[in-house]
Amino acid sequence: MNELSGWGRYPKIKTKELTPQSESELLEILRHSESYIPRGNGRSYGDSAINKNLTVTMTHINRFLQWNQESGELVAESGVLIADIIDTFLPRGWFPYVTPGTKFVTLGGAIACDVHGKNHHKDGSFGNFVNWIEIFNNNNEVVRCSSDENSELFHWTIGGMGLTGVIIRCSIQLKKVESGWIKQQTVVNNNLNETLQSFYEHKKATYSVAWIDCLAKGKSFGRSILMLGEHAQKSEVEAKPANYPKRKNKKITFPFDAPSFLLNNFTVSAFNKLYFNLNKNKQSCYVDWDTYFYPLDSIGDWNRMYGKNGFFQFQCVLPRELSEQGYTKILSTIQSKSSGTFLAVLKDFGSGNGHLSFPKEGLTLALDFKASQKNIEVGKELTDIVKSLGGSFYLAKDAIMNSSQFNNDFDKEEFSKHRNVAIKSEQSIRIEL
Amino acid sequence: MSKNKTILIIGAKSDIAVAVAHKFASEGYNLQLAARNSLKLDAVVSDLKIKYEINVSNYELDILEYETFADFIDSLGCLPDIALCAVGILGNQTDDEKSFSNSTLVMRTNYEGPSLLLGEIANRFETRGSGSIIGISSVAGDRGRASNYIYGSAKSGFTAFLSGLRNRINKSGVNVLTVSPGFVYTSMTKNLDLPNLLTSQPSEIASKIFNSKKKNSVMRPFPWNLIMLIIRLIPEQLFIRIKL
Repeated sequence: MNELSGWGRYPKIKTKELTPQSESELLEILRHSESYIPRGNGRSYGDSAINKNLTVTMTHINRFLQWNQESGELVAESGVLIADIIDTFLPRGWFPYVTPGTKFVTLGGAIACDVHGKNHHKDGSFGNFVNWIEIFNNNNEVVRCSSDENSELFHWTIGGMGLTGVIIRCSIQLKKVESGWIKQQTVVNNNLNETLQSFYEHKKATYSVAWIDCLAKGKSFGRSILMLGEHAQKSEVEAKPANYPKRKNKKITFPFDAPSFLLNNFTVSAFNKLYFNLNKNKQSCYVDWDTYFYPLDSIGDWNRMYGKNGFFQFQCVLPRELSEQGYTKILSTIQSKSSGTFLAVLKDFGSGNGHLSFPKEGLTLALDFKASQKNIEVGKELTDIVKSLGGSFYLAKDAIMNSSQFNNDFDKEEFSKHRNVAIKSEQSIRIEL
Repeated sequence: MSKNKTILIIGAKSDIAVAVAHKFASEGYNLQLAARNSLKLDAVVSDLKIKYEINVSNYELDILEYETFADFIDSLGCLPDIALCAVGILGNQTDDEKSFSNSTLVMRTNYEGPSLLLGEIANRFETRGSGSIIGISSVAGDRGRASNYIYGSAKSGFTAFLSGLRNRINKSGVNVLTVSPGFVYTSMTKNLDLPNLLTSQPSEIASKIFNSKKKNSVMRPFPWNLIMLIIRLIPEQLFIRIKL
């Protein structure tokens, strides 16, 4: 038995963990287990990849199986990391179509959570670029599904949090790029209304995401910096030392759990002010892919910043027409309860994908909270606000929701046909999914 | 054919062997992978080919069937520049000490097979006048201990074989490297409770092997060189009273 947690290090749960080395070893384990959950690289924040009885870690099932340099189709085992894909294929001119904010997620995890990136408003989520998936289904067989073959299983698996079966292999489509550089442009927004408006004005940008100062009050309430990005063409970056720069080495690793007094309202507020002022004068510039997409990956174990009790993330999506009203209420609640966060990120979503996928038309907000009792209460209050406005929550981040708060307006009867009943996570039990 | 160098890896399903394959492939080597049930290597082979854009061929080989060794070497597309043997089974000391057949299997797999095969390849290298022989042995072979002396004695035999081979062949342009890695996190050791500070990842061992591939020596990574030096120096009368 050892103790496992998600990236937020809250909650910590004792479980038996097995890490099979090959597909045959994996199938042997699965056929003899009555209750388990597959786990990728442990980058979901809460308890969605932990089962008290057995957690099957997939990180060693991680081989590339087929590659087509002409079409950009990759067939791989599900434990392959996005980082492996970039290391191998970016020098050949290919990049993942959709990537979350860390490159240390597995393909299986990316499909199960149907992750999104800064281009969701334009390209949709990870599931849009999955050609097919092979899963160990509820009949203990390995079956292939795609939008043409076993299509219902496919659409319940994308965003299905691993509950339809263990994803073993998949085929994904990569994107052709001329360089590993991103042309970045920043737009300063002085209040919430400007922030929301600027997403609309820049909807043609390939990548867009806003960092929002959630502690600014008065006429600066909801101020933000919108960061836009485009893949640079080869001709734009000829002066750079490498057309396809390599991944950066970790500069710093958080060596210990930060003492909890370091994170207080004063330091968080100072950080937010500093960050806003540092960025507001930035002009358009070219940044390498690693810095642009994965700024936090360069700080090893950054999750220790929140101290030994860990933290939790809160990410919701609100319908576009209710966004201003809803986010005003949410930010005001945070300010009045003094639970400011370092990382508050706002992003607009295009239309959704799988039956259980998180992204849907509207605006999404992601917040970090230190896992204190007070903050957990605030998190629950925010959850109720979102629920009352018809919004929903990102299960890959959730650690605190209860079953009545979970937005369960999906076809339960249809889902149960595809659900692998042996697969349960502490989260799926908590929210009765 | 490309002008790249080639390494033959025997016992290619082991975790150290796979790590060695990745390391050498990343340095541009072509790979010849030999193992029992080599079909199980299919995913590893495709992964290596795609990642490093090199040639990889795999061969079926049972380390206990020495009658097949000459044909096996003839069947390789080319005589490799380096031959590395990572074959090994740990066995289970308490069961094996009561069973002839179990003990024989551990002894033959860890000593007889690897020695005979590397010996034959070394003869071919000697004729050619170049090549590197690398044997993965074990610190368990440095002194017999109650907890694993069947495995240890076989590894001891393998270490002695490589030592003699090196002594014989080093003037003909062939080098022999013995690697005794100490604890490594692998499938073979997954049920053992290993001390973190003394245990390496397979990839660390692979990098050390790559850097030492041309050496005529016994490689025991720090701090195992010191630990085993002390263990060998303990007088027998004292040693028999220590539980190791």
